Amino acid sequence: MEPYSQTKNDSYVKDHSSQPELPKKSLAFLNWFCPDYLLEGILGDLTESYSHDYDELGKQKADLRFTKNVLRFFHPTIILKNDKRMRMLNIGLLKSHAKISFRHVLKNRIHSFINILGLSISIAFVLLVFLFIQNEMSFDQFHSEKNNIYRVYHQKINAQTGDIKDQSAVTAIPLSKDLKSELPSIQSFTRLGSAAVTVSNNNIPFEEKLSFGDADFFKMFSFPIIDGDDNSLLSNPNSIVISKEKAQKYFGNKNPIGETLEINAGATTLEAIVSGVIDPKKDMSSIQVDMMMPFENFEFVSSKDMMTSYKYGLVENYIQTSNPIVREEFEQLITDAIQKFSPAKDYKANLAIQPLTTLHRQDQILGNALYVSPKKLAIMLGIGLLVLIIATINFVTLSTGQAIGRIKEMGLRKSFGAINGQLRSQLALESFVIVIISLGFGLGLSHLFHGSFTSLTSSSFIYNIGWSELGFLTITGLVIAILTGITQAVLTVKHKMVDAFQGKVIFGESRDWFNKSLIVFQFTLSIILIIAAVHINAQMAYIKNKDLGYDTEKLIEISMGNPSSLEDGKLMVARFRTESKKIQEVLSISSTMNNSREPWTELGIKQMDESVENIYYNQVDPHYIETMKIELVQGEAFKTSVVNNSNSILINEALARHFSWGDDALSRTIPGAGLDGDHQIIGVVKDYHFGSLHQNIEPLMIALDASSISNGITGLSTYVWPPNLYHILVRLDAGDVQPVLEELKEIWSRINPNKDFVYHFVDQSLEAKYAEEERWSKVINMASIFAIGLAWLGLFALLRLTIKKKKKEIGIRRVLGSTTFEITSLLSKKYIWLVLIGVIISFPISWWIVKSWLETFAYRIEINPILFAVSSAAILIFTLVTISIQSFNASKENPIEALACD
Amino acid sequence: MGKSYLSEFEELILTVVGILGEEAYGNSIVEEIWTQLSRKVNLNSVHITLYRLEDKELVKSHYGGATSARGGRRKRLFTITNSGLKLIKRQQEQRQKLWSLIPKLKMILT
Repeated sequence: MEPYSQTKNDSYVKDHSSQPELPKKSLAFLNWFCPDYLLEGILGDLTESYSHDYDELGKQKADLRFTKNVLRFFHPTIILKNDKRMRMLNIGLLKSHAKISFRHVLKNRIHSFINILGLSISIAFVLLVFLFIQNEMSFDQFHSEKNNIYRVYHQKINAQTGDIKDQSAVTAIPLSKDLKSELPSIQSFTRLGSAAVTVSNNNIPFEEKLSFGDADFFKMFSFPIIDGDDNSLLSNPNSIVISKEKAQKYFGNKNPIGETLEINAGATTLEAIVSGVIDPKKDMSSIQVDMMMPFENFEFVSSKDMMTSYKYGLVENYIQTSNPIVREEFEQLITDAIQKFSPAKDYKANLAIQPLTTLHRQDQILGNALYVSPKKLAIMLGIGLLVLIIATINFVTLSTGQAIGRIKEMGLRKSFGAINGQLRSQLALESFVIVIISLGFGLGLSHLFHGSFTSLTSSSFIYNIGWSELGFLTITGLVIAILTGITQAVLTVKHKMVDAFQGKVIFGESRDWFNKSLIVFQFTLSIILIIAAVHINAQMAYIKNKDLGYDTEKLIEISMGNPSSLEDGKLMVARFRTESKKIQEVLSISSTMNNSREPWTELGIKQMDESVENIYYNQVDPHYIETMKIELVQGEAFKTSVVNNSNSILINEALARHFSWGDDALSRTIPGAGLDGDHQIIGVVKDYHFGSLHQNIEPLMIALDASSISNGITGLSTYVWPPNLYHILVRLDAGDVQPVLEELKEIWSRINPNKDFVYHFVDQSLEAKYAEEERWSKVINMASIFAIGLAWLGLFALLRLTIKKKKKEIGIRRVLGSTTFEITSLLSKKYIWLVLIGVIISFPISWWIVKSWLETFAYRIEINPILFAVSSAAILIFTLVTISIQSFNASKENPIEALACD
Repeated sequence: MGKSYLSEFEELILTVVGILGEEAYGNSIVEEIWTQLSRKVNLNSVHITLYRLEDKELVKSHYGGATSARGGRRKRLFTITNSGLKLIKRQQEQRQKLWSLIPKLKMILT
């Protein structure tokens, strides 16, 4: 019921010339939101008061008042009067649209299925990527003081070039303590160190990672404290704070507070009393705490000397400032402040700080905190988007293709008076229906694949769909629907209805061009993915099979924990050797300071000219070379039958090369300001890979005793220290290992009743080292299979449409005598071209991607043109087969039926 | 409509529409309230209230009286309907009744 005139009459919107002119923008705004039937009355009243104000107050004030009044009229009561009318107009039409949309989804089952399949899988994938990235972004955000906490790191800068030579967040022990005593702007500090220790409760030993932190640790970091007194968690030297998981492990459901754990750290056995239980928030914290004791106990796993020395980088140093700071100024401040404690001769480095909140997402400056490479986040995001793009392209090409068949329907609707806007909204609604169905399926699929996704990316995020995830899904869905809706609507609707009735409308040149470029784009992406995947796999195989310079098979490392002294370590090895030599399958036994899993000890040796030479160091027993099966190039190995000189050392070829010694390495000594030439190089071993294959083989010395070189050591940049024997190496004979392991374990527990038997197979540890690469190669493999599958689905469906469209043409050609082969090649030609263009575009891009990835490896395969050719040929053949099968089927059909249709 | 109640502002507007008879439209209502009660009200709230009252069928409206000051636009004139009249009458009576129930109050002059 509408008693007023509904047509907007321009005469009362325009102003009379005699009247002062109303402010245009406000007027337009009012026009826009005000329902027509109210406009005249409102605008009249407004104009009346406007002309009144104009006479009384002048133009400016009157304008202002008018605008104010208009804004006041922007009120729900008035705006809603608008809406109601609009809704009433549209509901009937919407109903019909919805009905027709569903009919279409059902009618074109195959296409709808392909669309929904592709979209829902990619939506699931993108959602998981979103959850993954969200989890990584949430790292370390739960600390309430997060904006005031920094990790101190040091960087060595080449004085001449200004290049950063070396930077590390593993720093000297007294650093943050001394800084705090110097600078009042530092409110609190904590060191964070850790060590592998043996923990026992009721005489059952377990190997655990024990962290050490200062008294303020739990005040700086907001780990939720489940049990215990917040203020005195680390106040007693023998108190220990444990995670809730460890509390469960050692004490079950018993209240752990006040209970005792026995801790074997080096030569010391500590009786630790549980003072608190925390939630370690391991899925969102870079700092991973299982168990923590006050920092003074770190002395037992390092040495008294190190606790005050600036020579060794051993722990992470965190500080909390009381006020916001300017980073550059503060870095200068601490660099200056530390000079007092650490004369430049020991520690010539600049200090710098990293905000706690940025630790997790960078891989430049590393300490012990967990991190994720931002490159990998980018790759994840890229793959997610890629998959979504391919699925959307499928959706667009298929729906526009399908719309061909509906030109008549459009024409009919138009001739019944439908305006373009209505037709567009119908098409948009149809893509909406598909998208909504896909969103539902996608959500379900993401739940289903959450487990495999987390294990593939070795992430532990929780599947939790909240508002932000739903919001993300909605936006994704909207974007897809709108993109598709717009493309279709633009391409379909703009036709004259007469053409439509005559069936003349095959889409114009522009649409063809558009579709073709989309297909080329898809092929390009697919080929890039295949080439990348093939190269990644080849490189991984290369790494796995690369000869490392020693025999990794049937080699076991047994962790000895922390022997209290070198003598103690040697004794333990000797006893173990005597016992296990009796086992037939044990070929040889040795021991080593560094193992295959962790970075090796790197020494800094200062030269006469103040420069520093970095040399890796490993301490072993005389059986090492024999057990590892390392080849000797010059001189001789350590003697196993007679006593060696304690000053004998072995070097690797890289070291000889580094100092350009040529063939007379045996007559040289390692140069260094503090080295008095006491040591004797008795042999050179062939280079073997003790580090990662990402790095070149660096100079290394192997010694039985560090005493002959210890005076020359002026710095240390990795963890394993002091020199001792930490791992037993056991070389086994071919045959069943399990019974041998049982025997070794039995011997171990007889010799060390209070130590856990922890062993690793070297080949497996090495594999674990490249697990990260393995995982990413799996992710890329999956994604490429996926993308190719989707692209193929799209192509398949598009071909079906094309052939349907050309049914008559094929029929006529058949009648006129074309062979099946001719028809097939006619249909194929166009697509082969598209594939070829895709190949050409993809080559330089994939070459660049593969090259930059391979460059992260010091040992790598060459980029292989044959792999390029094979990958493209595979895609080409794949396409060809798809086309041939379809066109073959089409040409086999009885031409009479094809011609009779319509 | 027996159960509907009016807010103070709605009642005010409804009453003023009644007072103004054939001349009630947005601006005249604002002015009337100003002259009678020295109370400043906004044009938009008057309009919004009028539409609300119209929805409740307490007033009805028609177009009339274009002036040059209005840029040639017609006024939307409101008149009170019978049910509107009944309603303010009833509210008035109810208030009177309640007033009479208050024990004899003396205003204390200080």
